Amino acid sequence: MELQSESISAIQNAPLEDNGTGSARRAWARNHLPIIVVSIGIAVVLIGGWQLSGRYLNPITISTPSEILRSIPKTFLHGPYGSLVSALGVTMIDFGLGFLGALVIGTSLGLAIGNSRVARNILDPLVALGNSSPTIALLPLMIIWFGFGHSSRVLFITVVSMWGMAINTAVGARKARERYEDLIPAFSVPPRMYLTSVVVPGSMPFIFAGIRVSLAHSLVATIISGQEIGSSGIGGLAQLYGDQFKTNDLFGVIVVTTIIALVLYRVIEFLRNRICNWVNYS
Amino acid sequence: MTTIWGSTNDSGTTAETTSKHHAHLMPTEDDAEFSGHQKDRFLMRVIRNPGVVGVLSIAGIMVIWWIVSLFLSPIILPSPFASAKGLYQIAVHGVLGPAIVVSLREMYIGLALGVTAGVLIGTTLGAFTRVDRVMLPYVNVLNSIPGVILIPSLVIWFGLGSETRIIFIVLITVWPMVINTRAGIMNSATRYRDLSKVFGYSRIATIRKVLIPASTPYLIAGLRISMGLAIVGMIIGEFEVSYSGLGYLLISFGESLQTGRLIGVVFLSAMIGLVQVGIVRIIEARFLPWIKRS
Amino acid sequence: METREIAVAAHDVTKIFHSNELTVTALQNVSIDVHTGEFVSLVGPSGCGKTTLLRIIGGLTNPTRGSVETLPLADGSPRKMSFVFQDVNLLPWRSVLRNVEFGLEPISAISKSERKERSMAALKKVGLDSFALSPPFTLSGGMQQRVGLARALAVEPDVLLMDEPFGALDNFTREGLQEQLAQLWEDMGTTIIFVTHDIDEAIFLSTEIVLLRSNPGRLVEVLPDGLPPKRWTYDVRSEPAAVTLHRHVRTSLSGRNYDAPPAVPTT
Repeated sequence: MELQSESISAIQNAPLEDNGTGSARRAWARNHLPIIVVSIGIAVVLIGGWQLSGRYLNPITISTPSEILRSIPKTFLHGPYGSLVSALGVTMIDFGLGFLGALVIGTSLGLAIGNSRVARNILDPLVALGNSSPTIALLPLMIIWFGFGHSSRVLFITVVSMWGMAINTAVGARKARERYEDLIPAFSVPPRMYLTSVVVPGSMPFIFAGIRVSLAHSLVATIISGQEIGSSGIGGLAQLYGDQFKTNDLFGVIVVTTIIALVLYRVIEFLRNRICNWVNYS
Repeated sequence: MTTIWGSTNDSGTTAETTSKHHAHLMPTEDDAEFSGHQKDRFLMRVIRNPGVVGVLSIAGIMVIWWIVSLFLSPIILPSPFASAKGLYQIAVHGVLGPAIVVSLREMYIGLALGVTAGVLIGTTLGAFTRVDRVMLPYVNVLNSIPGVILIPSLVIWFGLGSETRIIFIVLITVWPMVINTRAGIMNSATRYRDLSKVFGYSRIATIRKVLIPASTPYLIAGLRISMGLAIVGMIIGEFEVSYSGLGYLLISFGESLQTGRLIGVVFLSAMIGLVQVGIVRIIEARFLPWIKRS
Repeated sequence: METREIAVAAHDVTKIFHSNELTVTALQNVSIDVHTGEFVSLVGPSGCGKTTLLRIIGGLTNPTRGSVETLPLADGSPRKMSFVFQDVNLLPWRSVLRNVEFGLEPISAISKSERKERSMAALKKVGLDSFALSPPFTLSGGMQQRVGLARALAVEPDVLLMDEPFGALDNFTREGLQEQLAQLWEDMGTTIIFVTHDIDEAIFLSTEIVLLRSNPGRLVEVLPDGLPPKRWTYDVRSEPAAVTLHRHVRTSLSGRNYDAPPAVPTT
């Protein structure tokens, strides 16, 4: 195969493994297998140790992995305070609507701030304030204004998590706008087209950073609203199990919540890598 | 550009703070350019001034709030003046002072422990690739747990005292520091790899003299996030596990429908948030004149 | 030229990079001897492995096959090496002086005051002693590169390795720095191995030019550069010998024989 010298220099810049000969697969195995083994080993030791210590310590306070695993299917459909499934349903509706609201409002605010000087001057101080203050402090007010129902929780989630979205989008839009500004006179690009085909795609990496931050805030807001705004959903369930010292079931809820959070983060990451695959080359 | 986007790879969090930083840098530059080619009257220029508009927009909200409050019961929405009066009353009656002391004490102890632990763990991960590859999956899982869900179990383990809230604050402030420190150390390690090798620096000397100083921008970005989370953690902790502190005041004023005082405390929390941002900026300005230029 | 003492010898150095599907031979059986006091330039197109060779000599990369030998000095002590990078790599949180001190800090035998003294002396050599306390980002690119040179000189190296140090600078700055480097080298007599893709730069600076070609990276020939010393005092580039050498290098690297230029009708 004949290579252009340019392409070789590009390859040299790429991270290369230079550990001699041998097939790529063998090199991969030699590189990764010990790490994977040690990593899994640590998990086995930790979980095993936890399981064993459950025999000697108070099971009410520490529970055991096997009990936790058993509790999840047990409480999945029928639990002492309602099933895990229905709690998940309630939570996911609150979360979905609240998060969506945050995305829509946050992105709109951000694009407005990033694109228009007037909007920026008016909105920037508000967004800066919203972003730096602990908006969860608004929770009691939400109860006074909207009661203990769904709408109160959804609004609370939106209000807590829209700021990170707004501020990241604003920065991204502004950067993209300024970076490619010379294209407007050079190709007589109409303003709307510049917005939709340059500014928005150009700020995608920042929008995704915003989505990630927003997701983290939404998850916290969802759980706390379940605990404090009418005991409902996953948050409420965790609280009830905790109050009753049903540690196994409590840990079951924690495990399920963590899995859901992990999946959501992975989805965002996957979408980001799909949509912003150009980032590392720009 | 590349650093910001590069670090977004490692954690959205880094990008968030970097962007916040830029957000605050926003006004000034193009403001001059604007008034330059549009030589309008003095009034016009005042209106275009971002500082003036900012104050006006906050003032505008206050006015709207005040007007709306005229038509609503003071339980739903008291006027701005009533809220200010509420804050003044609880301050005078000696409710506010002790609450602030309790809250800030827990917050700063938790923050200090969380940040220290985070820097240590992050440095270890960033500087020792093998450790990182073994531990990274655990870090990812632990970082994804929404901290609040742990509160009931923390209560079972540690009771209802202030230790529980401090531990909670540690648990939520540690991860941004871990992730940012790790990213900072790793980036600097790639950047300065040849340098420390050429001059014969040991691993430890490299970490101390090159990697940690080179990571300060990342550390500050992490600190900014962790400081924000510390207030959130403090308030959540006091919502759920407490009979004192600002979070407790919020909940109890909410439950007894003392909306004026409630809004006063909300404002106070926002002010604490602003002060935190200010503290980070002072740290940044004082220690890192080189960040912006290099 | 008395007895030519060898400072660094590369024996049959081969370097192969693997990526997922590609295998790139950056260097194939390259052997060179670098003699003390010489100024050796490694010249070739990108991808010819010149930087890789320099990194192997400096111990920053290991060769896949072959070896590089750094011979000890006459008194048996090891030969000290130092490196100047293309992207200077100054630490932005340290002042210029503290950056120069960086290279001396791991050497515990040097006291703090001696370190400072030696660093100031190195800065003086490159003419930047008045900027000692400035932060590096306030300096121009050419000045930053001189700080990098001072940092490398402060450790008093026997062999100085320079990786395209002037590659990112504009032409005027570059020529100024070349003259300065030529003077420094003639004053100090340090052995220098210098990587560049600029033929004129190599001709101006070197006593020996090593030509490399890519695909795979290999040695083409080693040319003596016999131009008279004190090259900053006269216009080297228009000397007939330099022009001939330049033509030879271009022909040798491209493998192409140029036609004579078409005759210009004279009136």
